[in-house]
Amino acid sequence: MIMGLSILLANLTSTLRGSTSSMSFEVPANGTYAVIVKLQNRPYEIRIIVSEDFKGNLCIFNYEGIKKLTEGTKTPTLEQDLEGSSLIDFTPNRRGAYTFLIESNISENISGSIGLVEKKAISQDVQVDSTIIILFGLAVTLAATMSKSIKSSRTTC
Amino acid sequence: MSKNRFIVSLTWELKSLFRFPFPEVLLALFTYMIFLPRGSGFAFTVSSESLKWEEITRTIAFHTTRNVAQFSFFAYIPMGIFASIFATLVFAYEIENGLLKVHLSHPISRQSIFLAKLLSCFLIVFITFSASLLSYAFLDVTENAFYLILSPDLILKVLLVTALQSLFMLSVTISFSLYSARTSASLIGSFATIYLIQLLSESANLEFLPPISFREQASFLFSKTLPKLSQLPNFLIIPLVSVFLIVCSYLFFSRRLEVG
Repeated sequence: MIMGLSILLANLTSTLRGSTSSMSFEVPANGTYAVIVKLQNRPYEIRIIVSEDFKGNLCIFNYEGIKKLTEGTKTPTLEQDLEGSSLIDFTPNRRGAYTFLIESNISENISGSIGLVEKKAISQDVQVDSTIIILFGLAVTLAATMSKSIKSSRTTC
Repeated sequence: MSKNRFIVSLTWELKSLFRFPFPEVLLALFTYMIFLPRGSGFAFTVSSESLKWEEITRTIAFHTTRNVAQFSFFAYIPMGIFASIFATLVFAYEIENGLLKVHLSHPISRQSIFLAKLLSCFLIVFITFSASLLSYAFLDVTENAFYLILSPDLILKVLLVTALQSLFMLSVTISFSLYSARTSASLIGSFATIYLIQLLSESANLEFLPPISFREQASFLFSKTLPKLSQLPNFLIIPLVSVFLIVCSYLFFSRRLEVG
């Protein structure tokens, strides 16, 4: 219960005003580039910066999607065509590991960068998880208190 | 017989520390500090041609635990405050109000009393801190929690980081508490020392002093390749200092300390 309350409080009093991170990448001619990133349950602005003549697409896979991808099935959470540099808004349903897969449709090597702008928001999934932990803690505490009171009433009898 | 007495003494010490809700407050503070959202997550490139599920899950578990170990140094100040309180309550306060005299009148060696006191403080700090860190590790990428359980080496590394940090804090605060033998001096002095170490470490960027050294320890334990030999001194200095301080305190308590 204490842990659940602390997690809830940490999320509510979060001072994160949004953060920016970027990573560079290189896609071979008609090839693919994959990167696994950890995302929070917050709105993101994905900035793909590549040369103007780049054509391809960006697929984002969640944890289940990554598993299916390794088995050969492609079930992206988001699929977007890319023509040169692009801005994409994406809000993950849940915090976790996501794969960004960039596929190139042109016959030359391309290098660029992915910028991730995390916007300020309260993560709903953390709220839900912490509430579950609090409720579980409350149930355990109640059960312990009840068993104690039953024991004490038996000894009084 | 003496083993039983040690356990009785340890239980007594734990009960006396649990009289106040210190462990609960400590757990709440640790969890709050560790779970505060921070921008740094993880990102790693994978070969898109040969994606292997086992490799991906293992790498996610590795990055999650490495982040947790790196975040552990955010709990430096709360840990310092509570280590000072515990050490003061268990040593300086008991010396000052004569409770230690009553302890020593029991048929139990001074060594056992010291070990019971040290272990009680260590257990509370270590268990609450590891609970916070491990819960973060498991909740960070919830879907990958099962694969984290399958990587006990990573969990053990997190526990080692926790144990080393707890040991350092307690070694400093217990030494201060024993040598000062005054409640107020111990409480203020030991925390001031911990805080001064942090100021020195961060202002002069001294990698062998905590809390920077805690981050270095985490990097050493969680390096992807074999750690460099040049990193070893930074990794070993703090554990060696901790052991030295605890041995000194042990010898002082068992041979030199005059009560009464």
